[in-house]
Parts: sequence; C-alpha cells; structure tokens
Amino acid sequence: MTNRVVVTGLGVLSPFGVGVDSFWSAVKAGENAVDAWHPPGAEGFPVQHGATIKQDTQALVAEELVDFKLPKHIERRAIYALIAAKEAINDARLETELGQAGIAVCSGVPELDDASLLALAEQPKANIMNYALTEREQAIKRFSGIRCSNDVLATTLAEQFNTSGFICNVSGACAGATQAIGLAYRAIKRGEASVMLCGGADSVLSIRTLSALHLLGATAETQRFANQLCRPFDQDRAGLVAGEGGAMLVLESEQHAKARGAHIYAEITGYGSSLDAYKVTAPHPEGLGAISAMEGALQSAGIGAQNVQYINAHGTSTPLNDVIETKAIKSVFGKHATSLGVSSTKSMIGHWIAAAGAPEAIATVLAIRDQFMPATINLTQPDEGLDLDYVMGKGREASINHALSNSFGFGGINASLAIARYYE
Amino acid sequence: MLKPVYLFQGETLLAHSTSLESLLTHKGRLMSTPFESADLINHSIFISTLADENLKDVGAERMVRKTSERQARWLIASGVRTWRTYFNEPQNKAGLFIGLGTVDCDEEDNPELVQEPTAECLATAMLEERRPLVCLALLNSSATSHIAQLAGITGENMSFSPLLSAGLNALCEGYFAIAEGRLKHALCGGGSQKITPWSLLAYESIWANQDNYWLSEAASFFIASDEPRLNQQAAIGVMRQAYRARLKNNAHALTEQVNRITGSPLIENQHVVKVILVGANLEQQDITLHALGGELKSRAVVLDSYVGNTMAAATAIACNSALSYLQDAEQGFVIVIAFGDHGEFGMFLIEANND
Repeated sequence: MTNRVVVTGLGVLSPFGVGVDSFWSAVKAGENAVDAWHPPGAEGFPVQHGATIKQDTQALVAEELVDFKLPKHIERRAIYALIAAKEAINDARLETELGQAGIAVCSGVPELDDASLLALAEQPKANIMNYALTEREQAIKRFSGIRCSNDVLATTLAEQFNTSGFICNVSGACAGATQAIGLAYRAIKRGEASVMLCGGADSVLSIRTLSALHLLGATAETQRFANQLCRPFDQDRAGLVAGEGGAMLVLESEQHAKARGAHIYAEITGYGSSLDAYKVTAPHPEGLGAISAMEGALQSAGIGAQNVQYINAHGTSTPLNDVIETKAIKSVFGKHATSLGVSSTKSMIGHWIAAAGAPEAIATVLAIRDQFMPATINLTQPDEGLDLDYVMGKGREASINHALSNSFGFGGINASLAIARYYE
Repeated sequence: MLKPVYLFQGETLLAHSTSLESLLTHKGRLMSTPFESADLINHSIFISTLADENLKDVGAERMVRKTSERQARWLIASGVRTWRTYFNEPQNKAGLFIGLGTVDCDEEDNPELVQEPTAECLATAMLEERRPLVCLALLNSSATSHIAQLAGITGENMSFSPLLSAGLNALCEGYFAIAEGRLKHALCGGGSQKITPWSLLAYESIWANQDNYWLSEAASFFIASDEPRLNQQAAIGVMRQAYRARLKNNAHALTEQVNRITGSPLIENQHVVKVILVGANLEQQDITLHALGGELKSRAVVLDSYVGNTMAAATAIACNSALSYLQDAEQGFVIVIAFGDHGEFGMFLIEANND
C-alpha cells in the first residue's frame, strides 16, 4: 500500500518578483526576465546578460521576512528559499501543521560572493585565510557564502519553520532540485513522511562562478540578440543564460491533504533518475541517461508515453543539451513525440542551475491546472533536426492530463518528474 | 512489501593508511596532529589527514583527474575499488548514493590572485585560463559522475552534502531503492570535507561550542544488494528524523527517539551485538547511553572516539564497522545510531546472516 502524492502549496521568488502570481502570469504571457546585466564593477565581463532578482537582498529580508528571526550569517539563496517557502506554506494553509514535515532542497555549491572575495583581496596576500578566520565577524559581509556551507538553505528552513522531519540537502548539479522533489515524492509515497517541503534556490550571478562557467564554454555571450539571448532549440542558441531565484513546493499524501481539506493543485505520479556514466564534460551522445530518466518517471507513474501531453524541457539553450534532449524525447515517445508540446521555461527566467527544476516543476503544475502550455520564447528558427512542437513564441491552451518536467545536469545526472491532473 | 537488503563490506580510507579493522580490534590507533589554523580562533582542533589518490589504479583517464579535486579523488578511488571488488561488469539496475563534502575556495587561492581589490581585477583573475575545467572541479557532484563513469553505474542516484547527515541520507536512499525493488545493487557511501582554513570558516557551527575537536579526512563505501551471498549481513530497517526544535538539543525528544529504537519489535528479544553511536556530541552521548541503559549501554561503541568527526563519511564507516562486528556472529544485530550536526537523527539496524 503506497500513498498518492499531491501538490498543495507553491511559492516562488523569481526575476519577475515575489510570488507565484507574478511568476506564472509572466510565464503565461511569455515575458522575458533576461536583461542586460554584468557583475557590478566589471563592465568588460564576457557575460552581459542575466535574469536577476531586482530587489536588494536586505530589502527583501525587511519586506518579506520581517517575522523571522534570522541567524547572523545567512547567504542570499537561503533568503530566496525562505521567501518562497513562506509563500508555499501559506498557500497550503499549513502554518500550524508543519510539525513532522521533512525538507528536501538543493542550493548548489557555496556561493562565494564577489564583495567578500574583494574584502579578502584587500588583505596582505600571504595570510588572507588567516585574516578571514581571525576577523571573520567584521571582515566577511553579512550575506556571505564564505561563512556558510551549502546546507544553510535546508537547515535554515528547518529551523525557521520548526520542522522535525528529516532534512536533505541534495547535490545533483542542474538536476538537483528535481531530485529533491523526487526524493520528497518517494518519501511520502512510502509513508516515511506525510508532508514535505521541497524545491531549491540558487544563483550563479557572481564573477567567480560565471567565470568558471565561461571557461567551460557554457555561457551565451553574443550581443547579437540583446535580451533575447536565451533561445532554447533555436539554430542561433549560444549557451545558457544564468538566472536566479527560489521556488518551493509543499507535497502531501492525498490522505493528509484531504483530511484537512487542502486545495490540491496536481498529483506527482512518478519520478525517474539516472546517470549517463559517460563523460563529465558532455551528455551521452544518444541521450541514454535522459531516456532512462524519462522512462523511469513514466514507469513509476504507471502510464504509457502516449498518455503524456506536455513536457517542460530542460531546454538550456546550449548547443548540446537541446539536441540530445530532443533525441531522447523522440526515443521515449516515438511517433507520439510530435503530438507533444515541449517548452523551456528557461527561455524566460534563465537557468537557475541547481534550483532550475523547482520553478519548472511549478510551471508544469500550473500548466496542468490552467490547461495551458507556456511558450518557448525567442525561438524563431528551430535548429536542424529539432522538429518537435516547442510551443514557439506564444503559449496556448491545451488539454494536459499528464506532463513531465525534465532536468539533465552537468556530469550526466538526470531526473524527470511525472505530474498529473488530480482526480479523486 | 519491502525486500531484504544485503550489505557487502567495502573500503574505508582513513589517515595514515590505518585500517578500520585495526581500530575496532584495538590493534591500531588513528594518529592526529594539531591544526595550526585553529590557533587563530583560539580553539584546539586536531586533524587526521588523508594522502591524495592519483586514481591510476582505477584506470581514470586524464579528464577525470583534471576535473576532480582532492576530496573527490578519495571518493572516486574508494568507491570504484569497492564496486570492483564485487562486480567486474556493468550491472543492470545499479545505483549510486553518496554523501559529499562541498568544494572550497582556497584550493585555487582565489583572493591571492587578485592584483587590486576591484571587480575588474577579480574578473581578470577569475577569467584567466589557468584551469579551464575548474567549473567541474568545483562542482561537488562531479565525484558522483566520475564514479558512475568508472564503475558503469547508470541507474537511480542521489548525492547529498556536506556533513554527517549527507552520508546518512545517502545510505537511507540507497536502502529504500533496493528494498522497494527499483534497484538490484547500490554503491553507497560518503567522503569527508577536506580540512582547510576555509572549512573552519564554513563549518563554524560544528566546532564553535567544542573545546577540543578532532576532524578526520576519510571516505567509506559499501554495497547494498537484493542478492544474498554467503556471509553478507542484512539491513532490516532504517529510520531518519530530526529530534530537536530550533537548533536546540532536546534531551526528552532524543530519549524518545532512542526508546523508539530499543522498544522496536524488530529488536525485542534479539541479541544486540553492538550499538554504534556516530556523530554524537558529549551531551548526546550521555543522553543516548542513559536511554539505552544496562545491557545495551555496555555494548555501545562511540565511533568518533576511534576516528574523529569524518562528516559525510561517518555513517558509511559506522555501517562498515557494523559489518565487521557481525562477521563472526551467528545471530544478532548491530544498531547504528547517527547524529547530524543540525539535530538530524538516523538509525540502521543490521542483522547477522551467517547461517
């Protein structure tokens, strides 16, 4: 006997602003959060666009987290997650019933913010780390990732919401948040938890991390398309465009949700994960890992490929991913692949890296709720061989009973969620 | 219906090539030295450090070596060697579950490279092509990808970071994947964070209230499988929770958790060979030992007193220790009780299977 797992709460802090409403209304309208941006003070930096949270972090804390007693040192991704989690919990009307809830989130590697690195660089070069240790209270900025290990997001959520279920900080590269949601789904399904708070928050909009992505050749840097730079599946796509934010979901067992009269958005019906076991620098050329993850999600959902109407694609706008993902979808769905709507939310909000799967899962849940496939924007001419229905340019109404949300991470870590319209 | 999960002992890497067996039989002792950087923060911290692994013995190609850093190499070496002890060919329905450390900033000496403390100079330093693949080396889950590639593991997977609970969650997920029938075999384990001045900064919460602290670099793996083989022990139950509210230790809640374990029908009237505590601070040790009481207390082993705090490696070391203790036992259990650094609490129940 296993539990059905339902989605009862959603929360997002995105470049479109605070809240699910601002996120989803913009995504439905096909708005573009990518804008001209470079790291402050580094005008000549090769990356010149990003999908950024416009509000200052301290202002966000003052406006959104005024009731929280935050620890002295907390990095901004934890703040993003707290804001999203607060909305998701309120949305689920679970404020007083979180008790035994578990937490599964992903926040990527520690964020070493530029201001703190520069503060350290002001010191005599021979003993910078000694300085950082002895002057750690004064020298390192309040929101610095230097003083925070990467589980700060998970532990802060547990502390602030006073939960006593298990706490997981998933490290799964760009598939991390989808893995966290998959873990939460499995925990409820087996009865290990009745309620899980899951999702992620991330940002790589710093000199250090963007430089590392640039050196890897992963970032889009052409000026040709201005803010229409994130172009998944397009013949002129040139790499990922970084975004940032936090997105959280409340998952519950159907029994728990119904017992308290909760509103149910959708049902998580399956989850699959896999490893390419190929190369850390490139996905498997036949997309075997992506295929396996999608097949695993369908199998655990107990549905056939022909039952799916929509896929929220990983769709990074990188030359390799979009080709391999298309190939994998064709392999899994066969002739049905051309009947699917396949779109990339990243075209609008950029790539949230470790957290990417969380806003995309939310977009998939809301696509099912509203029976509406969001668009892939900036896609004007699909690349050769990329011949699926990518919901080009404008979203549309559609009948969606079953959908997948894909995440395929660096190093061949793959995850796929099956999400369905909820029927009693 | 859960399937039985059989555990195959794997490799544990400890400082100075110390064997886990020698520690458990009191024939050896893990050496530690004072950590000089800790003097700066007026703390007494001792460390046991691991030698680097060159990965040549596991056949890692140059790209793997270029995109891994020291703590990833410990994981890759011990994980792949453990897998190959049992499997020479790729296995169907094989998965991977690992507790990882995070990746630090001082490996690359970033601040030292900046000529002037300006954003432009920081960008110039960071964009220099000293190490084009640094992005993948800094990504802690690259270790997972490398192990998958070298061991040919393509199935379900989950990696966590950075402290003890990361290893605990990895082993729980590996157990469930086998018990629930999704996988046939799973490589499960974890590795510690490498000990550097940066790790003192990042993990201040774990040593801030400790007068004397012993940090050890380590990595440890075992294999979980749905196939029994001669002399492989069986895991028959796992549990994980957090037992405290708002980061405060809560004696009553912890006692309740321990009582839940000792009162479990799985344990009732069974012979408990050992109770292994791992990750417990002094207060947690006292509460747990008191709650265990008489017989069980006399069989308790505080693993950290043998190996120090091995962070995400700790739970796998505890499970490998349990397998050692059960090797010659005809019947009975070992209970592993693991404590995370933020109130997490987990239990593994491992049964002798030596008929």
